[in-house]
Amino acid sequence: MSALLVGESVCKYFGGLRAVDDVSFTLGEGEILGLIGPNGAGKTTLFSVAAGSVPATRGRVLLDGKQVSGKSGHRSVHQGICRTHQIVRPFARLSVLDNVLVGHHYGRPGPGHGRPVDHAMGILDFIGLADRAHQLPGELTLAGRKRLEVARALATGPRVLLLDEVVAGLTPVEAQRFVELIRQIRDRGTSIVMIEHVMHAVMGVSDRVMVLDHGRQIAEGTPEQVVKHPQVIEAYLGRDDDEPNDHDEPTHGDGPMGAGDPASGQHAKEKPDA
Amino acid sequence: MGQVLALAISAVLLAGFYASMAYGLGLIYGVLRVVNLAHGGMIMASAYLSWVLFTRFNIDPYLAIPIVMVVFFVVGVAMYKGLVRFLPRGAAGGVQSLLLLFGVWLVIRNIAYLLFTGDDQAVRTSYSTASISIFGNSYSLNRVLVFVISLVAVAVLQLWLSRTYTGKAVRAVTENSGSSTLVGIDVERVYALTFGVGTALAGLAGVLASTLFAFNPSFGSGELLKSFVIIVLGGLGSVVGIAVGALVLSFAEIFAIYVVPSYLTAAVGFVLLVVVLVVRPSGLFGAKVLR
Amino acid sequence: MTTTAQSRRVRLPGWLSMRALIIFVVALVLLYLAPTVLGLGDYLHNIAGLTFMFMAAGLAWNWLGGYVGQISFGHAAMFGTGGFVAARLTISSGLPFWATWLIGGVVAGLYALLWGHPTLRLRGPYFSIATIGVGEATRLVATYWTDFTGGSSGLSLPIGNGPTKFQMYWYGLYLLAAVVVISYWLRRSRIGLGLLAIKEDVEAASDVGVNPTFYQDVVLFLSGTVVGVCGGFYASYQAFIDPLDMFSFERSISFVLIGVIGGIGTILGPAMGAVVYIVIQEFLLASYPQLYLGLYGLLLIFVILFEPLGLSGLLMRVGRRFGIRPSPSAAAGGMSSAAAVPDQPTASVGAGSTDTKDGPR
Repeated sequence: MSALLVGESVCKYFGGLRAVDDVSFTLGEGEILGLIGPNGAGKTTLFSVAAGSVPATRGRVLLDGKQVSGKSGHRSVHQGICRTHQIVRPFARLSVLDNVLVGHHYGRPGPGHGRPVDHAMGILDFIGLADRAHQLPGELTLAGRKRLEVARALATGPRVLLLDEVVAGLTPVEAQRFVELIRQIRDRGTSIVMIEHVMHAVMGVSDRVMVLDHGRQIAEGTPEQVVKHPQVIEAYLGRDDDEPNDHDEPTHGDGPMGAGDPASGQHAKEKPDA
Repeated sequence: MGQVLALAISAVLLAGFYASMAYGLGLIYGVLRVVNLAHGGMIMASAYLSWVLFTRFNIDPYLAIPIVMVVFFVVGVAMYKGLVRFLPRGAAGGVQSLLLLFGVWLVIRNIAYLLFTGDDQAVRTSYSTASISIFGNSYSLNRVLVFVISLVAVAVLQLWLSRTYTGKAVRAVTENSGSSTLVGIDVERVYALTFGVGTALAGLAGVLASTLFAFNPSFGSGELLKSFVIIVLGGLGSVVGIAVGALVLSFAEIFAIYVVPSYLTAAVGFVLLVVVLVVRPSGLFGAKVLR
Repeated sequence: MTTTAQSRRVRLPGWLSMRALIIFVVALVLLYLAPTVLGLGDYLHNIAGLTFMFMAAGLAWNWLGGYVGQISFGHAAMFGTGGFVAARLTISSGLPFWATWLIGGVVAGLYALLWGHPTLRLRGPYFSIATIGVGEATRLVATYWTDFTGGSSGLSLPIGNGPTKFQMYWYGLYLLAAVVVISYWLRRSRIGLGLLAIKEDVEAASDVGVNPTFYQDVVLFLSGTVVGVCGGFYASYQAFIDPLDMFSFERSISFVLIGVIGGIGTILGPAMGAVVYIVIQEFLLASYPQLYLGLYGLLLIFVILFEPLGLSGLLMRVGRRFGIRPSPSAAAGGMSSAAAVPDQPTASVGAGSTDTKDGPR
């Protein structure tokens, strides 16, 4: 398997806070890489660096040998890497279809994918929102808006999709459907890195899993290997006194939902052997 | 060297006035996320109130401060309850509150014009020409008084914010209105109160301005702009930030006479604003203002 | 960038564009013939020409204020720049009048880029207040720059080598027609979608590949250029301009008012706004000049509180009564209404406006 996305010793410091500290990773073509770790571990920051919206303090991220980190977000999209947000950010006053069309029009230039509306409707059909195309995002359920977030990202024609907690906050049935969807996206040829707190979701779908804790990479391997890793068990079970640090995730620090992540309570209860 | 020192002291004196002027705007923005475009209009209106109290009722402007501040507190609360309350706030409502308050400013200007015509007015007390000597240079007594009163006002406000229950509630809402509701703070009341206090501060700035400058109904646009520059420079929520912002602006304006013709010094604040935005988009203190 | 644009089809909502095209052509022909057929009388005829210019300027202001959501209180800076460059060229060169307008417009557009590129990274109120600063600073410089603007005594244009005031009606119409076409193009093409995305959420737009800096710069340049051309038109129309009028804060406000009264973010709203503006200006305020600002202020407050989409919003309401429904995204052109966006005062810029609605319902 050739490496499509490569992170080389990525570091991101916010003042004295080492949000991401010397993390290296690879993502093969057609692979799903799970990214887990307690809140404040630096997962979302790593995404922001990989997606180009936040410059790395040191190190770099390469997509197909070309650097994507340290440029502006839109240029990374044109190179073929697109992210979603943990707190969904649809364009609230554009219809579902128009949301997806933005992704289509401004995404990766490349071989045409047919007529814009057909392409966008195709994606909405695939993602299960075709009958909602002319509604506003506010009329969708949370699961619907999470699907829209993914549809809009898919419309940019990404080679690598960075999914930030798309399953979090969904009911078990919705979550199961979403996991299936992620697998289908991969089967259509998009490689995926996904941050997820819902353990059975990430363990079930990932080919490999990387674990971050306090900005450092503490384990990497197949889901089976990772759950047996002593440091992982310690990070998840052994340090309840760390809870106050939960709100450190810098990129969402000022949003009212930054602290209220519906899934954040789960990781303590869900044992990694799920 | 002597001249530099004299100018530096002038700048410090001016900065005091600037700080009191900017504080109201910053407070309202910090809590409500609304930029009060009527701020300059309020300063102008208050200068006229001070002038009326002085010319008609012989009330010394400095003694009129409590009256004016109470009046403007009530005006501010009324403005909140009657207008601002109905607007969406935050990023989504920014444009609407901006335009609405801009409309209020136009109305205030027009009312002032109808009542007082467009002529320049000034408050001239018996001690308007009195001066005081600092390090061998003489400064107008008014400017020193304005400086001292501004310092007192800012200090009192800071004490209020940090020591009293209500003040703490205001700060809590600044941090996070959602959580504040959860812990039982009446957010609507805090908003109304903040708008009142912010407007009262504009009232104070207006009285102080009336003793220093001539004014007409167009007065206040420069003050609004300068207040904004100070907030961008210094960030919100800290007296230190406002003070530094005010000092940077006043020093830049006063020392600009070495560089640009005098009629252009009014543009210095704006140039400073753009320069700061280009060099440090998040403000000198990584202000939360801009995000 | 251009190859991208060419490789993908411009999105044209079929029926609407056809209908719009027909209405546009018919209106153009009618307005072209109107003076000859109707014989408006000198006063109305001349005022109509001026109204076309204000329509064009209001539409151009709206590209920035409405399509991108960046309210400028400083467009007089470009109006004045365009006007004085055109006037200077008319005085000192043998260029035809339309060339002086165009050059004045481009210079104004470039000037807009000069201050706009750094300040457009600000959003909402910050940008707006910065534009007040731009307007005031430009006015100061222009007033004292006697060699360029003639200072407080202004500039008189030579009579005879430009169009007559009577002809200005048709030049105003051409100007307006061009601006209407650009308005449709900016709004209905894929660029329009990108602009709306920027207006909704700059960061999310960037995350799906929209380059906010580039598109905001382009729109500001176009807007400044057209307002500059309007300044040139105004100079030719009045045959005399002075910086106190051209660069005044009131001038900047007039563009805001036209845009907001007509319907901010809509395609043609500002054209209606300009008519209202001129009517108030010419027929009401001629008798009560001292009510000038207050009346506009009240109008502004009234629009924001009761009909954020201005006259366009009123029209849409009427249309709905007759069963005509706008597309779901149509309202996105304007400002959020209180009902459409949840009240979320502490939401950080861009993020959060939808967060409150998260959670199973």
